Amino acid sequence: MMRPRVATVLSARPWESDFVTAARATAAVRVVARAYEPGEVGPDVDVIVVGSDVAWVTPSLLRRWCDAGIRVIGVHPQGDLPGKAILEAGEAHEIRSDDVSSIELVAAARLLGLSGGGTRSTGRIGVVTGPDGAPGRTEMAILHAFSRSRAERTVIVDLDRRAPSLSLRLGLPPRPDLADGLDELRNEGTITPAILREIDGLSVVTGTFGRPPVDATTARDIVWALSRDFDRVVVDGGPWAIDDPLVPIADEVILVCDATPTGLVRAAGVVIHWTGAQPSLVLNRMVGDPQETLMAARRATGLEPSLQIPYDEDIRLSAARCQIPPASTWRWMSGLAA
Amino acid sequence: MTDPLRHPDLVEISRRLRDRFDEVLAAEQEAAATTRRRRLTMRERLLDAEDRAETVTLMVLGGMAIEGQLTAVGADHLVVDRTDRTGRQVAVAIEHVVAIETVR
Repeated sequence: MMRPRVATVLSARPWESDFVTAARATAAVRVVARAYEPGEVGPDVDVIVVGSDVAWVTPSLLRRWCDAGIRVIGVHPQGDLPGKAILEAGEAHEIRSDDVSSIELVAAARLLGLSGGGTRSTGRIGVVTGPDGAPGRTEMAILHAFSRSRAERTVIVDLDRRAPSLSLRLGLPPRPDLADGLDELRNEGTITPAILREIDGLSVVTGTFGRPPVDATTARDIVWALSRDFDRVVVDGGPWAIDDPLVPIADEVILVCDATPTGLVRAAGVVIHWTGAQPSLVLNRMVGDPQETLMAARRATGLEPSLQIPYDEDIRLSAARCQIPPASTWRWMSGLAA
Repeated sequence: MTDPLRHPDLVEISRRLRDRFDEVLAAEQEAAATTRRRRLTMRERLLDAEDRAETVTLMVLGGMAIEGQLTAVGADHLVVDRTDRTGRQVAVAIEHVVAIETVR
């Protein structure tokens, strides 16, 4: 079909409903979505028409759409310079003020949709999560990040909302943490180098202590912004929750489970509510007969474990001493598909 | 011009103001979504389905179900390319549509 597929972001401003009415009347474009949430915009959209007056529209999100080859038309209230700045920082292809006529906006959407958009490659996003009960999520995230950092530019970011322990675990001072970069993220859609720390070839963004945890929109923005600068973003996502904002945007999800009966039951409690792409199940701290544990894991979760990691005293000691885990332990996570 | 709210002494208050502004924007958007739902007509729903190239099941007066892809919505009727083995095209009066279910 030659008519471009256009999505709008549902807005209280009249230009949005006028645009949809004009699009239907002229049939110049197909309106395939009026998104209330970011997840309602599918990858098969050619053009997005979006207002700067929506709380979850951020420079990072706009860039993410542009990177995916979607053309973006931004509309800001007349005279709203901060709103315009969001659209500019998000690299929108066209920026109009809301006094534009709906017919003109439809024509612009049609033209942009027919011109096609190039894609920009971004880094892979891996989220490490798991049930409650300290199954070793942070430890596995660290091993995974170090393991990948030998082959590609890798960053690990602590987005555990309940217990962000990455800085303590790696022996880093608590500040600067990711909260110190939120203003720049919000205004520019970028991660300031000031919050990135380097440890043995791995970049680290530590979580925030004593301040409110980041909300879902901000968590997504952080990960998307990092994925523009790094080949691999490893997220220590903390305990899984049914409304987890990061799992739906991840390229890979690693579900860490303590290889004990209690751990397996907890993991089963997560899997039963799971939606989205199938996670890679990692059985951590295995002791005893591996075959019996494997069978129990299959029975409890319905998943085939991707990795089985035995109890490793080197990992325990490095964690207790707040040191980087020895390189010999990184191999445990190298079995995951790149 | 430098934004005065970036001054270190004003950073915290600017964050709070921004958070409140975001709450207002979110409430406005929620209201817009509710208003849209309340004003939506059956014809507009059908236009949405046509634009999205959706396969739908239509229930029409008399209890018949018609499954297929909506290919056109006219002034008083719509056209469905049936996905059953007949593969026929059928025109249905819009006023005879009593329910629409999206298949995919």
